[in-house]
Amino acid sequence: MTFEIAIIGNPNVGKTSIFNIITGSRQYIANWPGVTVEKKVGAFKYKGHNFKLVDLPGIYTLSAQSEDERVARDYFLNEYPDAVIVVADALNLERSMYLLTQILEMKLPVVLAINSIDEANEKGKEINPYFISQTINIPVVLTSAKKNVGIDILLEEIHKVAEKKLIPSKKFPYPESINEYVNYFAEKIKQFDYLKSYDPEWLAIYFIEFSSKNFDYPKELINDISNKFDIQKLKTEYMNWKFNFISSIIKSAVVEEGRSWALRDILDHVLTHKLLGLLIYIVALFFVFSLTFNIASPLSDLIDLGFSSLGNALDGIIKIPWLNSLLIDGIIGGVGGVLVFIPQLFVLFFFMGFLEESGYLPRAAFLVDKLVRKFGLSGRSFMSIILGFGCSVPAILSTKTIANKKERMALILSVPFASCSARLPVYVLLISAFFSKNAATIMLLVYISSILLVLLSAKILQTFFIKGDEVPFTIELPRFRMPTFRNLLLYSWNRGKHFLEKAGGIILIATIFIWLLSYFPNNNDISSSYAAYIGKLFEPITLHLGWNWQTNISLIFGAVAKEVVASSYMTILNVGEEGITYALQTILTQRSALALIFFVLAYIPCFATLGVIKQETGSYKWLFFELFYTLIVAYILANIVYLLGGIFL
Amino acid sequence: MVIPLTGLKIGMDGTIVRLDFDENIKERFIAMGIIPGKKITYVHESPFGDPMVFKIEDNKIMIRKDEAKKIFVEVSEELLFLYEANPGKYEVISLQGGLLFKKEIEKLNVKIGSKIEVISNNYGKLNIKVNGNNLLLGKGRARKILVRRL
Repeated sequence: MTFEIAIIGNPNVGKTSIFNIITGSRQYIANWPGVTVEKKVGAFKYKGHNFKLVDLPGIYTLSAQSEDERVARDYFLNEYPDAVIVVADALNLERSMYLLTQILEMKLPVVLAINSIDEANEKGKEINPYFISQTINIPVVLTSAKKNVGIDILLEEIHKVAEKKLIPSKKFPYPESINEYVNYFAEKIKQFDYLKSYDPEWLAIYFIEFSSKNFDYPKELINDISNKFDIQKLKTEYMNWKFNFISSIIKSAVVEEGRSWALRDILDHVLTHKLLGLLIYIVALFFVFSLTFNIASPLSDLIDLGFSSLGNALDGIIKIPWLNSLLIDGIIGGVGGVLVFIPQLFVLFFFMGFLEESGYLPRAAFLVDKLVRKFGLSGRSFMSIILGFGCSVPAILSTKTIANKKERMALILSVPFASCSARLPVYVLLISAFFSKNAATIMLLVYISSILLVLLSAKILQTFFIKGDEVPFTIELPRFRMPTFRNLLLYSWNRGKHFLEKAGGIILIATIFIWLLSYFPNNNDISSSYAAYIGKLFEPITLHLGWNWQTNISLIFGAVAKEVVASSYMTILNVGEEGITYALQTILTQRSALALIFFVLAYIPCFATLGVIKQETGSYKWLFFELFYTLIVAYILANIVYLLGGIFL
Repeated sequence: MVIPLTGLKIGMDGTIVRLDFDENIKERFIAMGIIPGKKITYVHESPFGDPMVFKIEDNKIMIRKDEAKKIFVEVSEELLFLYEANPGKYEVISLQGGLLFKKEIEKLNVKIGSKIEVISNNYGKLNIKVNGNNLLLGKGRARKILVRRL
């Protein structure tokens, strides 16, 4: 028999650290069904029992307004965990109690873990767990995930609670008027069969706290209740009771000497400073950017080299031509195409993990929030956009830290417009063939359009396509923490593994599909392949831009990876590096080359990016949306550029 | 006097009186610790003036101006920075600079609690009188001295 344990708490309380300590590396990441909220599940054994540990999102309340909160509430409503660990912050105990009260009102078997107790003690704060335990009748454990303190006791308490299903029996001492209302509500609701599986008293409390917005209450009951009780007044009474209840517990359980936070305030003074802070942010961005793409690129090149020499070695061993080509060009090429991302992703995850866990990211968001706000984005998005200019794959994966789901979706779908480094060889090829005199101007235009496309697209997507709730962007600046090396490795490993599992398959399949198009039906003769056929099929809508079927095929192959556009031209035109300029000038004009540059900027993100979009949005719907969306935007853009080009060129 | 959070000057604090939000959003702010009756201090300002960071007990919370406008606090009286002070008598409430600035300015007898008289204010360039001595202060320094009118 396996016990299911859920772990929940406010953001930044060390929930994930406790999760990591308990489960070690036996964990996996997935999305909750149908939503983009991340679900981490781990397994562990204790005293001969198997346990499954589910990490719920870090939230402040169960109001079900944001997707995170909805996920948490629905989990508790539908899943019946054997025990719930509520992680509270020893330095912010009062605030954590708010969520704890809501969870206790759902009548769940709870263990309270008060974490970071070592830091609290250092700051002269003493917490008496017995008092809390007595008052609300649940086990309370003092822990420090950083120093591995109290975890054994926590496991022991979870075991006890799960085995006996210890649901706290004590009722909260609500005021008389609330009790009267709850009893009446609970009695009335019994006649509605479809609500039988929910606790009637919880339904009553949830209604005064959040009204009927996020739960399907029967209309007649609501009318009845509203006639009999003054809900607004009850709500005020209930809120006041809650604050008083919580602060009375805290007053009795926490003894504290007043001490200031000098070091944190000095650090914050520098990191959020108007000039210094911005400077540090630029340096930090530069480091993450250059380390991700510079340290990792020799390793990527090595992997690339390894796969091509593997291909060369196998070439000729297999005598059946199509199998030979499938193995070398299709499979080995495809697997190599997935694995070259691994070094840069690991490096990126490592540094992003550092920035996230140390508490720097919210400060960085604070500095630049205003710059991107007009486009429906927040300061959190800024770093992902910058990373997008290196490569869309890590940029999309870095959006994980954005809490607002609507913003995050818009960003995931817009980041591919940031001109990644793989597009550079294509620009260089076309610019050197057609615009060698104005190279810098064209490049500048491309990059400016790219930034505008990302921002406008984020705005347009949020206005028309992505539904979601407007939640005010209010975040906490957490305490600074030194992340442990082990945690960072675990963080990078889990996310890297996740990429291989989720996106790797899509990239591989797509690469083999493109191979099929280019190889058949005439054994590796591209100009009479299915791809060429498709290229010709598209001529009616591309000829007015001056693109013939050869350009179209190069663009189709470019969907694998943008740099392939350049090499496909050489294959199709059957020329080498030297002859390509002249060959291009025979099939394209200046105007059509310019339109092509802008088309390449915007059209279909490469397969790796599409794979990651599927992984992060959790649905094929958004993958196909992105495919057509970018194609349409790119086509419109190319037409505009072609028209304008007619005026200026 | 009750003013919105946006009316606070950096370093100033007030007691939260009310939150003018829809119930759901209000509940979220309360869960984050922005609770009526608590003391709240404006501690960091963004390079672009928006958002703002406030401190409540040990928590620092970033709030955009649009939301901060709807959170009201009770302040004892209006404070202002020296560079916006008209001629008159003032008391120094706090010094908003680094350690070096504090040391330097304290050498000139401008300390928390000290009484100063502004003789003239020429677009932020101040001529003030402290302990009977005349003193010239540039705009940069005057920006960091929070005072209360006497």
